[in-house]
Amino acid sequence: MRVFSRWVGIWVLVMVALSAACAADSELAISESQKDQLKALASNTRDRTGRERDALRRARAELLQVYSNYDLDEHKARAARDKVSAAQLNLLNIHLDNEIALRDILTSDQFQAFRNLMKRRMRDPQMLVLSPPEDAILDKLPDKQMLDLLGIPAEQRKRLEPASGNIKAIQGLRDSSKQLLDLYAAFDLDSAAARKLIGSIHRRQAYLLMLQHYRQKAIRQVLSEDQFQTLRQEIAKRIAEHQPRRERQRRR
Amino acid sequence: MACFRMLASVPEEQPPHDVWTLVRSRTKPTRVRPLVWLHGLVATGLRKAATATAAVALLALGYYNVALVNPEPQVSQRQPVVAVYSDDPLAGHTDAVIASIDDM
Repeated sequence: MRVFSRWVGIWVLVMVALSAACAADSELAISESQKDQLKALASNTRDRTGRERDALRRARAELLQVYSNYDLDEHKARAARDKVSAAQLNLLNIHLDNEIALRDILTSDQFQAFRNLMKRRMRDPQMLVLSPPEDAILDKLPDKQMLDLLGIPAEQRKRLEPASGNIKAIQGLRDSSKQLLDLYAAFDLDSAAARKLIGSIHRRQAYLLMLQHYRQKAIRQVLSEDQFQTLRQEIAKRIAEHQPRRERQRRR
Repeated sequence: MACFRMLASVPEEQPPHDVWTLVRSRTKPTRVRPLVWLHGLVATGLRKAATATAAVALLALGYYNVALVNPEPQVSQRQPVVAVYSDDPLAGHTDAVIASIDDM
């Protein structure tokens, strides 16, 4: 009986030690003060990104409005593009600020544990950079079906084909973003290198905006005003078809 | 009288022992002590081996409960893809940082 009790005791001790080890591994050991600082940082970053994303959405809508008129107002288009570009850069800087602040709060070991926690949460997603929805529509349309409807001759269609620079810019943007995320993975953050990459990403974002603008100008050079209005109606129809059901219900 | 004589002629027989005393002593309810019974029945070495085996089995069960019931999420062959607009390519990362802090 005594032997059995002894074994049970040993087992209980081992289990307690194992549980403690597992708990220490899965939970981030931080002080209450650090926790408060992190919560404040998260709240601040959420507010800032929220504001910038709203500004970005408004600027995108403004740009779309400018491009919906046949007579392209260069001044308005430039102003809207500048707003989009500023919001894009602000967002990149907010992400960097957040990373720097995170390192001011956590120690190297805590940062590593936090990253592991995050990795489990994100499951190492493979980042895929896409164009914003409005951009994608403007890049892809008018498609062959629409051009057939508008009766555009073959030699003029070439001018309306999506620019190959677009794909290259998206790929470059994806690569730079990946490099920046790799920088953010290390505790010793090289801020100068990060700012350099932010500059590179932002240049590509600006280039994408310019390509979009050139395409809009090309559309107006090829299409008459009537054809442009028909195209607008077709694009509106296509957007309505592709809009998520929830959004359509919300608008009703 | 005849009956009396007949009965008197029957030889007197007495049990050689008090059997019932013995029976009562054997059938008296006794306290059941399985460990004493086990002690007498199984060799000490065998008992130790059985105890050690049971303890190892319990340890394995405990380890299973602690480490395997809530295992690390398995990364599937097809990795999930987070779509990030080119307007904000790092949004997914910062959103994950914020969500991880919120979960604390």
